[in-house]
Amino acid sequence: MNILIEDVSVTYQPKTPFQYNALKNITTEFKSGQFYGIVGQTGSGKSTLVQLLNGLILPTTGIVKIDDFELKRKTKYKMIHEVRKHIGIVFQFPEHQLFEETVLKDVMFGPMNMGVSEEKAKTRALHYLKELHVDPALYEKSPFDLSGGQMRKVALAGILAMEPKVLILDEPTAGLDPSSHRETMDLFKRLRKELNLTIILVTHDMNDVFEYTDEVRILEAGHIVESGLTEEILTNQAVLERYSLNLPDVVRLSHDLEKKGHVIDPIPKSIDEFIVEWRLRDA
Amino acid sequence: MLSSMILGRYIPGNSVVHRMDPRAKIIMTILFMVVVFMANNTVTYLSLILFVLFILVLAKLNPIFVVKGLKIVFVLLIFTFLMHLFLTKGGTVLIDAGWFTIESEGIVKGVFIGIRLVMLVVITTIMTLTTSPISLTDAIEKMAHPLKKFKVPVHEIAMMMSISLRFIPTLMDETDKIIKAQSSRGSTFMTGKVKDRIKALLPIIIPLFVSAFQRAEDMAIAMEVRGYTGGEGRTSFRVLKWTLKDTIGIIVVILFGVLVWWLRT
Repeated sequence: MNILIEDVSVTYQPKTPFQYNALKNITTEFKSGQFYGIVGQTGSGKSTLVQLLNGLILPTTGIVKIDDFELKRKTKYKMIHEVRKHIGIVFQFPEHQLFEETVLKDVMFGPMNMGVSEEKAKTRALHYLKELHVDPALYEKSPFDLSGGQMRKVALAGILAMEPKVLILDEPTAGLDPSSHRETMDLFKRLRKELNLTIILVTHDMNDVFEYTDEVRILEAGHIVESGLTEEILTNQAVLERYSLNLPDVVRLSHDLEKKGHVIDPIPKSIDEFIVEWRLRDA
Repeated sequence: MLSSMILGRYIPGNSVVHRMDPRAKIIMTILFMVVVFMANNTVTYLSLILFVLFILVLAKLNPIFVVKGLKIVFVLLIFTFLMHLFLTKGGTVLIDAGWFTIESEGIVKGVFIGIRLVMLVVITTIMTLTTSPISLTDAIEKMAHPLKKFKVPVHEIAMMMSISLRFIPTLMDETDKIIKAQSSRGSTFMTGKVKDRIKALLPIIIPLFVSAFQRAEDMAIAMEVRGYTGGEGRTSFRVLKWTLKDTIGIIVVILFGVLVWWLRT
């Protein structure tokens, strides 16, 4: 699914003392099957941008085109519901959205809302719970009895079971321990290949952006200020500093070593890869 | 939808009304409410409206913004107006449709009661719009202090009030987030049959309760860790100061009350 955002502005609470322009005349594109990163300071408009994509927020002016669907200021609810079948959002701390009696029922909630039969929804739920390595002994338990990490996985399964074509992730690893963090991010990488998903990742973690994404968009004060290939933008210290963003660790390390005469080109995607390459080089 | 509501909200500012002692504002509001109930003819109701407009100007609030924010109240307003329109009898008969009549007294009463309602809501809204919830509860605590003699747990009640006020915006945000999360999962509580819509509220209410209880527990622990033991010997960071303008404000409202009393029939 190709997403095209054309000259979109979003104003919250217009004509009140609280009026606030969250996005200002944004134009950008998200192509099918790509992995995108969206970065920027808190309050730069990242989450507004993301919510535009499935009609949680409608543009004040401009159009969001998602294949043949068009989201405008006065788009009807029916159309928005259709769009939501294809675009799944995993919000920050998705475990806060669990409510059903059992884990399995909760995962089935999304697909069934989208008109999938109960049987099919169950098959999907079982499939994605297994995919996320949730212990089958937990399927019939209350989601509120699970640990934080398990709840997160169940919530994720709930979105994946809707089988969206575009997956939007808002800080999906916030509050996870390092190994769960890696596991979750690798899962997204794998799912993208297996299901040919478009993934849009909103995060503050520059390491993740560098390791996993193909392209980045940098937002500042409601504008897209940078847009391009990840390996070009995230290795450019001057650009990142302009928007008070950090260099990814592996880039910083490579730059430091370069100053000492060790040229590493291309820069590895992660510290792990870096270590592997460094050892090969020594040998 | 939730964001445009201004009932109980506070807008920081620096007008005379903002700077008044919250105790004075509470007393003035109560006095004004008494005055509202004294009005009984066109002149007195008009003077009420003028007085409220005057306070809005003093508080540097935009009347249109205030009126827009009170949309929810209008449902009540229309309802009371219609009740009076159809049920209050007297004066000349304007429409006689056999099984119901509309009489002039009904329209007059409907309009007057409507104004009365709006005045009451607007004046209390001005109070909350110009007074931070914390100073409001401080004021209530101070004013209710004498009740301590009758073993009323004044401090605890005030603390409970400020905590609940403090959490209104937090819970609103939380509700907004959960609604968005569930909408993304295809939950439809905006369309469909009433039964389906009520059913669709469950996925919102349950997570909301869970997080509210979680927050309450965290809050209780945080308070205990910081040694909170209740009101005994507790001093206050913000000390309320009664100044000349507070006394003047109360005198003005009383004078206005006398005027209305004199004008009423």
